[in-house]
Amino acid sequence: MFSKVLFGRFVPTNSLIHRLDPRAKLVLSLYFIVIIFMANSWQTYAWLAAFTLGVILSTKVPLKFFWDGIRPLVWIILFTVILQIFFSSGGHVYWAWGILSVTQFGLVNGVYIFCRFLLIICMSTVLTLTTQPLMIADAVEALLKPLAKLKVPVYELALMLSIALRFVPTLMDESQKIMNAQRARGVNFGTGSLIKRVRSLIPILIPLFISAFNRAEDLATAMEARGYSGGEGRSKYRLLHWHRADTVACVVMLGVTLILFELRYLA
Amino acid sequence: MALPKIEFKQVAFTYQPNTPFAVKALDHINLEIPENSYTAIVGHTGSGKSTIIQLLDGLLLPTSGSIRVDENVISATSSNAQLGRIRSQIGIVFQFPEAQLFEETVLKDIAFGPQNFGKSEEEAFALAREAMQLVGLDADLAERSPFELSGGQMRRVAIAGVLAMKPSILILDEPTAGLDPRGQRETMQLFERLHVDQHVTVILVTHQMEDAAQYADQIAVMNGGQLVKVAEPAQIFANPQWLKDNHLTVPKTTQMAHELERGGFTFNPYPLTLEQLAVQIKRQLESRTQ
Ligand SMILES: Nc1ncnc2c1ncn2[C@@H]1O[C@H](COP(=O)(O)OP(=O)(O)OP(=O)(O)O)[C@@H](O)[C@H]1O
Ligand SMILES: [Mg+2]
Repeated sequence: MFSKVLFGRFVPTNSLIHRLDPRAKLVLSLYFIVIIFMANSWQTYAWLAAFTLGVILSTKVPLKFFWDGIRPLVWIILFTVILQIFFSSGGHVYWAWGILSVTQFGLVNGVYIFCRFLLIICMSTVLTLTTQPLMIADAVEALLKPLAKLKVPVYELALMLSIALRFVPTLMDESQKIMNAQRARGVNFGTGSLIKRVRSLIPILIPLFISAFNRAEDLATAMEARGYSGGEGRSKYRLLHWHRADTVACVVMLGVTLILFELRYLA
Repeated sequence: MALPKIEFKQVAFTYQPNTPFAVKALDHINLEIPENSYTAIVGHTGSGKSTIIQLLDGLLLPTSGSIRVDENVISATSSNAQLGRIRSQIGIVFQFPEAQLFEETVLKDIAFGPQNFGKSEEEAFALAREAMQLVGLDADLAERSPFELSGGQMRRVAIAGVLAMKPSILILDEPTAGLDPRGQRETMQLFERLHVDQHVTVILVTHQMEDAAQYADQIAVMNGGQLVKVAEPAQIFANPQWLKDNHLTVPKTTQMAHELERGGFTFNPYPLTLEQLAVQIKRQLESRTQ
């Protein structure tokens, strides 16, 4: 089931969005998440949703594939929102039973919260869909750089982040291989009592940890052998370039904000 | 005529279907593997060999088509119980199998498979000791941690862990990769002994044409997810150009025979082992001098 979740995966369709500077994408996504909280009426939500849909379409990732990828998360949100609806009060009461009730405010609030989460998930999925993990790490490093003056170990943090991101697929592959080997030796994952299920993880986790530690040691040796001694003053292999398109993207986002505020005060 | 032990019928498999990442790894695979046979699967990197193996053990389910192993059938809708029955009679030695070790002691690790398939602790330990002897591990290693052993010893422990399940079908995915020449020879001879003495059906995935030529009774050649040819080794290695087209090399002995053909020798059938080559050269040299 997790193989279907799209969040955190890079899909190389090489669209306009893919080619934007990762710093621009990171900042603009965070900014968008903030302005989602400014929406307060169906018009404002409709506007943000239309913009999000436009962005998704321009990534050239098939819409159905995108939807399949976020659907598992949508179910989780829907569940939270339904709880929220039953336990909130205010306005016209449509239905009540004990402490549970469905009220006008609860319903409206629930729908808004649902929209908010959905938009946030869509936008952050777009970010990871169109930006390679290492690029995101580079963007984080570039944006945190000013903090180096305050003695924050920015280079080390960025290195840790990129190594971690780099090894996620490797470890996934590795765990799949180990799982296959143990299934061939008769382990049945996901059946039986809870205790049995947890126990069946041991033959996976131990080999996985051992290989991860070995890999980490190998990596450290390889880095030292090639003279790595901390990030200070290192030049970079991948350079980030700010293009006109990035400035345009920022202007577009500004436009989106202006229209959002316009709709907000009209309502 | 008895049914073949294993039968692939129109098997196709796609990784991550219905996504932009979809990879069609296998298509139209039809393959019969008789009981007690020794089949080698060869082919270029990425041609689908490991995928075939995983399908055979029900670790992946075919996108379409079906695989029969004795009376059990694997298809897109097979249940866990059916797969369990199939897995209990198949042993797989994966590429770099030492990655599967996890127990505190060598003996416990080897006994893990038999215990999962319903053997009591006592029976499983007995099977484990037997398997240790089979792969040539000293009995006093039994209580050691598998992680304190050398790479070659760890490989033997992993192989013993598979053999302890007493599989009637043994699948080997490049079992000798990364071993020293002596380790390679000993490992291959171990599997040969199981095949001859205990009538185990062996399926060997390999890049070493020498091994395929020497041990297999049939060779299946894969290319780009298709099964392009299944035949006896002598037939497979008779045509160097065809081998090249399928990204395969020729065993050294066969290579030698091809070179000698230019100097007027003829070979029929093509020699696959050093011994066969020597015998044929000797015969032809003798008839020349007469
Ligand atoms: N988990 C996976 N997800 C997507 N594609 C995969 C996956 N595993 C294998 N493939 C693809 O399926 C095809 C067949 O792979 P397979 O591992 O069966 O090849 P192979 O013949 O065993 O190669 P090798 O000789 O290198 O071991 C390859 O194109 C590979 O890229
Ligand atoms: Mg392989």
